[in-house]
Amino acid sequence: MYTSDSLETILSHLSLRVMKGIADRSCLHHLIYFLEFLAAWEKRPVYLTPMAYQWCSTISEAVGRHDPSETTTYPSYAQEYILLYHSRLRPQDPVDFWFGDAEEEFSKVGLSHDPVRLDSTSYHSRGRPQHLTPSMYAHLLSITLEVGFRRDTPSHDQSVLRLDHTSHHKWVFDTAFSSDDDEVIADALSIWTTGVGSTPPCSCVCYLAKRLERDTPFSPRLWQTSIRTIEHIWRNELEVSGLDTIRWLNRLDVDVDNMVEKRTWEKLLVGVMRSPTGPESLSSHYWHLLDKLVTSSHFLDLESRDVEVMRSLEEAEDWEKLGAWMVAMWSGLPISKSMEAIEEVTLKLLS
Amino acid sequence: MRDRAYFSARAILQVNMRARAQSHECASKYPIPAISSRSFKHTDLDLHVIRMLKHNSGAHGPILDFPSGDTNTHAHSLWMSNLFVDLTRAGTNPTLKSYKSYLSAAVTDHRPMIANILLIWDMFLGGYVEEGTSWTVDKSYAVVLLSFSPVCLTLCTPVIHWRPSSLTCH
Repeated sequence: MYTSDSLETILSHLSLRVMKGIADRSCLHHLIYFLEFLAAWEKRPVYLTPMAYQWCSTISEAVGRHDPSETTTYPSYAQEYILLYHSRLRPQDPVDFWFGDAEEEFSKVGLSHDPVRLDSTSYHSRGRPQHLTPSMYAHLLSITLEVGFRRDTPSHDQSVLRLDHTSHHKWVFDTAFSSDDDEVIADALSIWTTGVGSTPPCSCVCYLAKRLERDTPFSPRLWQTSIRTIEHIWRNELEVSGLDTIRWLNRLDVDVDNMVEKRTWEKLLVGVMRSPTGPESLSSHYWHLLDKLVTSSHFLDLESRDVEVMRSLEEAEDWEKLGAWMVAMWSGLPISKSMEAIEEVTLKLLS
Repeated sequence: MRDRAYFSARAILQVNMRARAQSHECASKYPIPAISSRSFKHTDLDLHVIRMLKHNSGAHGPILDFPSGDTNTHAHSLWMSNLFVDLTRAGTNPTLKSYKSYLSAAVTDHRPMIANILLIWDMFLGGYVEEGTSWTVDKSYAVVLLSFSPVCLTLCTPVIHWRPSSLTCH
């Protein structure tokens, strides 16, 4: 009987074949088609995610074995595709672009006309290894990440997933975050929010730094994924005083309506504002945002550092941020010993 | 009786298509049945599939596009995917030609059909799928999943169900 288990069994089985195909660089045509098929499967099951993550590792391993002296056997249009791919001018159908001639050829069905069949056996995968350039590996990686991590609505089942991080994944992160395509970066960023206890060993902020250097606005999905990632990981990983984190936040301009966990954001923003670089670097938008958050939750744990923040903003004559900071403190102020100090600074400012 | 004839015709068609795929000689021995345009007007979807097969078969075998979800019922698309499994097992590869229409099958999220397409990919990537392994319309297959091995998918034993109106994917 057809069951979802049988589908999982077939996919597990296919997963091994994909890894073998990548490792020995055979049947690339079919691998690309197969991955495109999985990517088009909108309701693909979540258990594909760990499999795709393994494929990423295998691609990275294959890159490690890549002999740079090998010359590509792909025709010039494939090279042209790679250039387009890296300049965000992706053709409508990459597979057609790569293998368009092969498709046309294949319409003449028959042993002598099959461009994939390399011998007289029944199965195409018995072909010779194909030569790949690092750019082609990057393309393979981008589709694989899409299969594993691109979903319109995150599934609740995702929390039971386990991703096994290998040393090979470093190449995956390096490559994905260097991409010109924000969707690929968003896929890679989703790795940090997938599964339980599966945070990769390295910070996503350092990988994202390269993207932050570009002035172009984030794609809607990268923007959304960034917000979710920050919410998900800030306690464990996010170094709130880091300039890269502040640059990341400044690019997002998060508003209250975009937040799922307002309390998390309140703590995060207060942490950034208290950091040595926060008062100077964090955009005014967030200081006003804190007003809204504190006013709605009436909760702010004051620290002696808060007075220093006031003083530093006063010295910098950043009245906009200072005003927002004072409103936030007074709005969410519980009775505490810090009150006198805040009163003192406030009076001084008003005098 | 009509149902028996209906499924027998389907089975014969499938056997013929597979035989046609094996060799040029077989293709001439196993013609696709002719259907009159008058029959087609009666909007029997099976006749539609037969017509599609006929119009998409060259002298050397089938040149098939996978039926798109918006013009065919799930039952017919599933039957087609079953035929593709059969053809791929026989050695002819209709998949590249129909790559884009496969994508439309993925969008429908009809799991038995997707399972069949995955079987096809398995064969393309070097796997061996034993005869009779597939999910079909109106047939019950006893799939022994525990014996699923890396080199060979499970052999399924077909049992015909005479229920044309229901889609039994076993």
